[in-house]
Amino acid sequence: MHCQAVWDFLLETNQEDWPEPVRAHVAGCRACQAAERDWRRLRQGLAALAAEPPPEPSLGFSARVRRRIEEAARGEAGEVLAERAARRLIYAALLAVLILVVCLVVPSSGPIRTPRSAEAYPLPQEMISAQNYPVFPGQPLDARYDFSFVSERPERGGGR
Amino acid sequence: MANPPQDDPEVGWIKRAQRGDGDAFEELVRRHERRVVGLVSRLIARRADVEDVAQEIFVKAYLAIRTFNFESSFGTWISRVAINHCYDHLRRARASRVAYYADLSQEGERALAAQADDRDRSGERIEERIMARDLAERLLRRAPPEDRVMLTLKELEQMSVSEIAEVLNLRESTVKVRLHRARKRMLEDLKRWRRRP
Ligand SMILES: [Zn+2]
Repeated sequence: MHCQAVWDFLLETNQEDWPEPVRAHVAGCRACQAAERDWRRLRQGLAALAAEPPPEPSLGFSARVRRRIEEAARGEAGEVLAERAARRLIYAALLAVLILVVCLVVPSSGPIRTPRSAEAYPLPQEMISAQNYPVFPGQPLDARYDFSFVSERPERGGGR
Repeated sequence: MANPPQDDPEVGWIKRAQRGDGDAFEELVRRHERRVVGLVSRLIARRADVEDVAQEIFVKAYLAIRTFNFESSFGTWISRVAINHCYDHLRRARASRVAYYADLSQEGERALAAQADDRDRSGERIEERIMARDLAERLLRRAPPEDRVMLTLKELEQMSVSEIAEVLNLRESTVKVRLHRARKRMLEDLKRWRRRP
């Protein structure tokens, strides 16, 4: 009989229940005798451990559990709120990035003008006043008013 | 661990707890705290962790109580939650170790060696029993988590194979095989340990 097969009996049955071949093997095998001694010792130790009463829960255990449940519920609610706020922040940031990208991509001559393009071509003061100026009969329009600047790029400040 | 009779006040507490009633759940905690603390203390080595882990188990049970369907007793169900939680705890603790033997300090190793080699010095029986107890405790602590759960339920909690099968949701034949394997590994561990230089 093989030692491993003997161990199967040794671990699961009491010595008095061993069949004859197992008894015969153990009687002549030092390794199995040692294993049997070890297992008996371990069982003795396990029985001693089992006999020890486990510790009692400390006073107020159930109340502490309840507090912990309430804290967990509050924590969960807080987490939901924080998650919601974080999500809103992300959406706002994405929107801001989108607006920035649109501003950079759309050309300044397009439907959306940047303040710089508006500044680059201020309406000359002369043109504004000319539009409201009374025209006297018999006077050639261009005798008094020089409109040559219209074709030129005006300087900043509107000087002639 | 059979189903509770329907007039058992526990049934009412469970149903109320399932609707979120904290008072009813506190009653359930009071009824089962000894069982859970006992299980945890036997499955988890560090005494300082026992209460904390037991509380975590009840919080987990509260969050999952709607899944309890009265197919087993509440005692069986809460034991299952406790064992699974302890098993995860043991696995995490084991994963954080460097090597198989690393959980024993040098001093602990020397003590184990002395106990293991002391078997022929059969003197006082009480002393021998204390040493056997310490040896079993140390070997249990070193065992892989699944072996530790099996051996603790069978040898320390003294549950029958069918009770273990129910609480772990396994077939009885599976429990028998795993128990045998756990015993064998424990014995081999002692032998291997003795052969260390
Ligand atoms: Zn042999």
